[in-house]
Amino acid sequence: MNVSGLQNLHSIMKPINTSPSAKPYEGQKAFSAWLNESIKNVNQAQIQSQIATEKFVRGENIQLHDVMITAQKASVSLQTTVEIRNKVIESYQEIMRMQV
Amino acid sequence: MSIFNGMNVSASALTAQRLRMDVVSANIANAETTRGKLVDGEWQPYQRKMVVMEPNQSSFASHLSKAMGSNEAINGVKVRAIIEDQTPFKLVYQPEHPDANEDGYIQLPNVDPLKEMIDLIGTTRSYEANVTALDAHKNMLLKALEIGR
Repeated sequence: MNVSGLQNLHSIMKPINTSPSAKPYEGQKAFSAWLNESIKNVNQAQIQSQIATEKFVRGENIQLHDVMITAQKASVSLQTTVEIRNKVIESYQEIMRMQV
Repeated sequence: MSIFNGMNVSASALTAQRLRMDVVSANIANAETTRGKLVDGEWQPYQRKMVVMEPNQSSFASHLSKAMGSNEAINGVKVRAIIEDQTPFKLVYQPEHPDANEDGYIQLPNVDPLKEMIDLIGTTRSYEANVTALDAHKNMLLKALEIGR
Protein backbone atom coordinates (compact mmCIF):
# COMPACT_ATOMS: atom_id res chain seq x y z
CA MET A 1 0.00 0.00 0.00
CA ASN A 2 1.65 3.19 -1.11
CA VAL A 3 0.42 6.69 -1.71
CA SER A 4 3.95 7.91 -2.37
CA GLY A 5 2.81 7.88 -5.98
CA LEU A 6 1.31 11.23 -5.10
CA GLN A 7 4.79 12.69 -5.16
CA ASN A 8 4.75 12.04 -8.87
CA LEU A 9 2.33 14.93 -9.00
CA HIS A 10 5.44 17.06 -9.47
CA SER A 11 6.19 15.33 -12.70
CA ILE A 12 2.72 16.18 -13.95
CA MET A 13 2.84 19.78 -12.88
CA LYS A 14 6.33 20.41 -14.17
CA PRO A 15 5.67 20.31 -17.91
CA ILE A 16 2.81 22.74 -17.44
CA ASN A 17 4.66 25.14 -15.15
CA THR A 18 8.27 25.26 -16.23
CA SER A 19 8.97 23.96 -19.71
CA PRO A 20 6.73 25.54 -22.30
CA SER A 21 8.01 22.99 -24.81
CA ALA A 22 5.98 20.19 -23.17
CA LYS A 23 3.11 19.12 -25.34
CA PRO A 24 -0.37 18.64 -23.89
CA TYR A 25 -0.17 15.04 -24.96
CA GLU A 26 2.85 14.40 -22.74
CA GLY A 27 1.16 16.01 -19.76
CA GLN A 28 -1.89 13.89 -20.35
CA LYS A 29 0.22 10.77 -20.57
CA ALA A 30 2.07 11.57 -17.34
CA PHE A 31 -1.22 12.20 -15.57
CA SER A 32 -2.86 9.03 -16.74
CA ALA A 33 0.21 7.01 -15.76
CA TRP A 34 0.16 8.56 -12.30
CA LEU A 35 -3.58 8.02 -11.92
CA ASN A 36 -3.20 4.41 -12.98
CA GLU A 37 -0.41 3.88 -10.50
CA SER A 38 -2.23 5.32 -7.51
CA ILE A 39 -5.46 3.54 -8.36
CA LYS A 40 -3.45 0.34 -8.50
CA ASN A 41 -2.06 1.08 -5.05
CA VAL A 42 -5.49 1.78 -3.61
CA ASN A 43 -6.79 -1.37 -5.23
CA GLN A 44 -3.94 -3.26 -3.56
CA ALA A 45 -5.08 -1.93 -0.17
CA GLN A 46 -8.65 -3.03 -0.89
CA ILE A 47 -7.45 -6.48 -1.90
CA GLN A 48 -5.42 -6.78 1.31
CA SER A 49 -8.48 -5.83 3.31
CA GLN A 50 -10.54 -8.43 1.46
CA ILE A 51 -7.90 -11.11 2.04
CA ALA A 52 -7.83 -10.29 5.76
CA THR A 53 -11.63 -10.48 5.97
CA GLU A 54 -11.72 -13.80 4.16
CA LYS A 55 -9.00 -15.18 6.42
CA PHE A 56 -10.99 -14.12 9.46
CA VAL A 57 -14.24 -15.60 8.15
CA ARG A 58 -12.47 -18.85 7.32
CA GLY A 59 -11.30 -19.01 10.91
CA GLU A 60 -7.60 -18.70 10.17
CA ASN A 61 -5.15 -17.27 12.66
CA ILE A 62 -5.81 -13.55 12.29
CA GLN A 63 -6.89 -11.06 14.92
CA LEU A 64 -10.14 -9.17 14.60
CA HIS A 65 -8.47 -5.80 15.10
CA ASP A 66 -6.03 -6.59 12.28
CA VAL A 67 -9.00 -7.11 9.98
CA MET A 68 -10.56 -3.83 11.06
CA ILE A 69 -7.30 -1.89 10.79
CA THR A 70 -6.60 -3.20 7.30
CA ALA A 71 -10.09 -2.12 6.30
CA GLN A 72 -9.52 1.34 7.79
CA LYS A 73 -6.21 1.70 5.97
CA ALA A 74 -7.89 0.78 2.71
CA SER A 75 -10.64 3.30 3.41
CA VAL A 76 -8.19 6.12 4.17
CA SER A 77 -6.16 5.32 1.04
CA LEU A 78 -9.30 5.37 -1.08
CA GLN A 79 -10.46 8.67 0.36
CA THR A 80 -7.02 10.19 -0.24
CA THR A 81 -7.12 9.16 -3.88
CA VAL A 82 -10.65 10.46 -4.34
CA GLU A 83 -9.62 13.76 -2.75
CA ILE A 84 -6.60 14.16 -5.03
CA ARG A 85 -8.67 13.22 -8.04
CA ASN A 86 -11.26 15.84 -7.09
CA LYS A 87 -8.54 18.48 -6.81
CA VAL A 88 -7.10 17.60 -10.21
CA ILE A 89 -10.50 17.58 -11.90
CA GLU A 90 -11.32 20.87 -10.22
CA SER A 91 -8.20 22.55 -11.56
CA TYR A 92 -8.90 21.09 -15.00
CA GLN A 93 -12.40 22.54 -14.96
CA GLU A 94 -11.07 25.85 -13.70
CA ILE A 95 -8.77 26.04 -16.71
CA MET A 96 -11.54 24.96 -19.08
CA ARG A 97 -13.71 27.80 -17.83
CA MET A 98 -10.99 30.32 -18.57
CA GLN A 99 -12.03 33.09 -20.97
CA VAL A 100 -9.84 33.56 -24.02
CA MET B 1 4.52 3.01 4.82
CA SER B 2 4.95 6.14 6.83
CA ILE B 3 1.43 7.55 7.02
CA PHE B 4 0.15 4.32 8.55
CA ASN B 5 3.08 3.95 10.95
CA GLY B 6 1.06 5.10 13.94
CA MET B 7 -1.68 2.65 13.06
CA ASN B 8 0.86 -0.17 12.91
CA VAL B 9 2.19 0.79 16.34
CA SER B 10 -1.32 0.68 17.80
CA ALA B 11 -2.01 -2.58 16.00
CA SER B 12 1.03 -4.22 17.59
CA ALA B 13 -0.14 -3.03 21.01
CA LEU B 14 -3.61 -4.44 20.37
CA THR B 15 -2.11 -7.79 19.44
CA ALA B 16 0.04 -7.76 22.58
CA GLN B 17 -2.93 -6.93 24.78
CA ARG B 18 -4.96 -9.71 23.22
CA LEU B 19 -2.22 -12.16 24.10
CA ARG B 20 -2.07 -10.77 27.64
CA MET B 21 -5.83 -11.23 27.87
CA ASP B 22 -5.44 -14.86 26.75
CA VAL B 23 -2.79 -15.44 29.42
CA VAL B 24 -4.97 -13.90 32.16
CA SER B 25 -7.90 -16.03 31.04
CA ALA B 26 -5.71 -19.13 31.17
CA ASN B 27 -4.65 -18.20 34.72
CA ILE B 28 -8.26 -17.80 35.83
CA ALA B 29 -9.31 -21.00 34.10
CA ASN B 30 -6.51 -22.94 35.77
CA ALA B 31 -6.89 -21.41 39.21
CA GLU B 32 -7.73 -24.85 40.66
CA THR B 33 -5.62 -27.06 38.39
CA THR B 34 -3.55 -29.46 40.46
CA ARG B 35 -2.05 -31.31 37.50
CA GLY B 36 -0.20 -28.63 35.55
CA LYS B 37 2.86 -30.62 34.56
CA LEU B 38 4.54 -33.88 35.44
CA VAL B 39 7.90 -33.45 37.20
CA ASP B 40 9.80 -36.65 38.16
CA GLY B 41 6.59 -38.66 38.10
CA GLU B 42 4.82 -36.22 40.39
CA TRP B 43 2.14 -33.74 39.41
CA GLN B 44 2.97 -30.08 39.88
CA PRO B 45 0.08 -27.62 39.99
CA TYR B 46 -0.42 -25.03 37.30
CA GLN B 47 1.99 -22.13 37.57
CA ARG B 48 0.69 -18.61 37.06
CA LYS B 49 1.89 -17.13 33.76
CA MET B 50 2.82 -13.55 32.92
CA VAL B 51 3.74 -11.78 29.70
CA VAL B 52 6.96 -9.82 29.24
CA MET B 53 6.72 -7.01 26.70
CA GLU B 54 9.43 -5.07 24.93
CA PRO B 55 9.61 -2.50 22.14
CA ASN B 56 9.53 -4.06 18.72
CA GLN B 57 12.93 -3.24 17.28
CA SER B 58 13.88 -6.43 15.58
CA SER B 59 12.48 -5.64 12.17
CA PHE B 60 15.03 -5.23 9.42
CA ALA B 61 13.28 -2.12 8.16
CA SER B 62 13.65 -0.28 11.47
CA HIS B 63 17.36 -1.10 11.69
CA LEU B 64 17.85 0.01 8.11
CA SER B 65 16.06 3.32 8.60
CA LYS B 66 18.13 3.96 11.71
CA ALA B 67 21.35 3.18 9.85
CA MET B 68 20.29 5.49 7.03
CA GLY B 69 20.21 8.32 9.54
CA SER B 70 16.50 8.94 9.46
CA ASN B 71 14.80 9.94 12.67
CA GLU B 72 14.51 7.34 15.38
CA ALA B 73 12.19 4.71 14.03
CA ILE B 74 8.93 4.57 15.95
CA ASN B 75 8.29 1.03 16.98
CA GLY B 76 5.40 -0.88 18.37
CA VAL B 77 5.43 -3.37 21.17
CA LYS B 78 5.83 -7.10 21.14
CA VAL B 79 5.61 -9.88 23.66
CA ARG B 80 9.09 -11.14 24.35
CA ALA B 81 8.18 -14.12 26.48
CA ILE B 82 5.55 -15.71 28.65
CA ILE B 83 7.19 -16.47 31.98
CA GLU B 84 6.00 -18.44 34.99
CA ASP B 85 5.42 -16.90 38.39
CA GLN B 86 7.86 -18.47 40.86
CA THR B 87 5.93 -17.68 44.04
CA PRO B 88 5.26 -20.81 46.14
CA PHE B 89 2.11 -22.87 45.69
CA LYS B 90 -0.74 -22.73 48.16
CA LEU B 91 -1.05 -25.72 50.48
CA VAL B 92 -4.58 -26.84 51.34
CA TYR B 93 -5.52 -29.68 53.65
CA GLN B 94 -7.69 -32.04 51.60
CA PRO B 95 -6.76 -35.66 52.37
CA GLU B 96 -9.47 -37.18 50.15
CA HIS B 97 -7.98 -35.55 47.04
CA PRO B 98 -6.10 -37.99 44.74
CA ASP B 99 -3.16 -35.56 44.47
CA ALA B 100 -2.79 -35.10 48.22
CA ASN B 101 0.60 -35.93 49.73
CA GLU B 102 1.13 -38.27 52.67
CA ASP B 103 0.22 -35.48 55.11
CA GLY B 104 -3.08 -34.90 53.36
CA TYR B 105 -2.15 -31.59 51.76
CA ILE B 106 -2.62 -30.68 48.11
CA GLN B 107 -0.74 -27.97 46.27
CA LEU B 108 -2.93 -25.41 44.53
CA PRO B 109 -1.71 -23.04 41.80
CA ASN B 110 -0.15 -19.73 42.84
CA VAL B 111 -2.98 -17.93 41.04
CA ASP B 112 -4.67 -15.16 42.98
CA PRO B 113 -8.08 -14.51 41.37
CA LEU B 114 -8.07 -10.97 42.74
CA LYS B 115 -4.78 -10.20 40.99
CA GLU B 116 -6.07 -11.77 37.81
CA MET B 117 -9.20 -9.63 37.85
CA ILE B 118 -7.06 -6.51 38.24
CA ASP B 119 -4.89 -7.67 35.35
CA LEU B 120 -8.03 -8.28 33.34
CA ILE B 121 -9.26 -4.73 33.93
CA GLY B 122 -5.82 -3.38 33.12
CA THR B 123 -5.73 -5.32 29.87
CA THR B 124 -9.19 -4.16 28.86
CA ARG B 125 -8.40 -0.53 29.58
CA SER B 126 -5.08 -0.77 27.79
CA TYR B 127 -6.82 -2.24 24.75
CA GLU B 128 -9.36 0.56 24.81
CA ALA B 129 -6.60 3.17 25.09
CA ASN B 130 -4.87 1.76 22.05
CA VAL B 131 -8.12 1.67 20.06
CA THR B 132 -8.62 5.32 21.00
CA ALA B 133 -5.10 6.17 19.85
CA LEU B 134 -5.74 4.37 16.58
CA ASP B 135 -9.03 6.21 16.06
CA ALA B 136 -7.31 9.51 16.80
CA HIS B 137 -4.68 8.68 14.21
CA LYS B 138 -7.29 7.85 11.62
CA ASN B 139 -9.26 11.00 12.39
CA MET B 140 -6.07 13.00 11.98
CA LEU B 141 -5.54 11.54 8.53
CA LEU B 142 -9.14 12.27 7.57
CA LYS B 143 -8.80 15.81 8.89
CA ALA B 144 -5.71 16.25 6.74
CA LEU B 145 -7.84 15.34 3.73
CA GLU B 146 -10.11 18.25 4.54
CA ILE B 147 -7.31 20.80 4.12
CA GLY B 148 -8.37 23.40 1.65
CA ARG B 149 -11.85 22.03 1.20
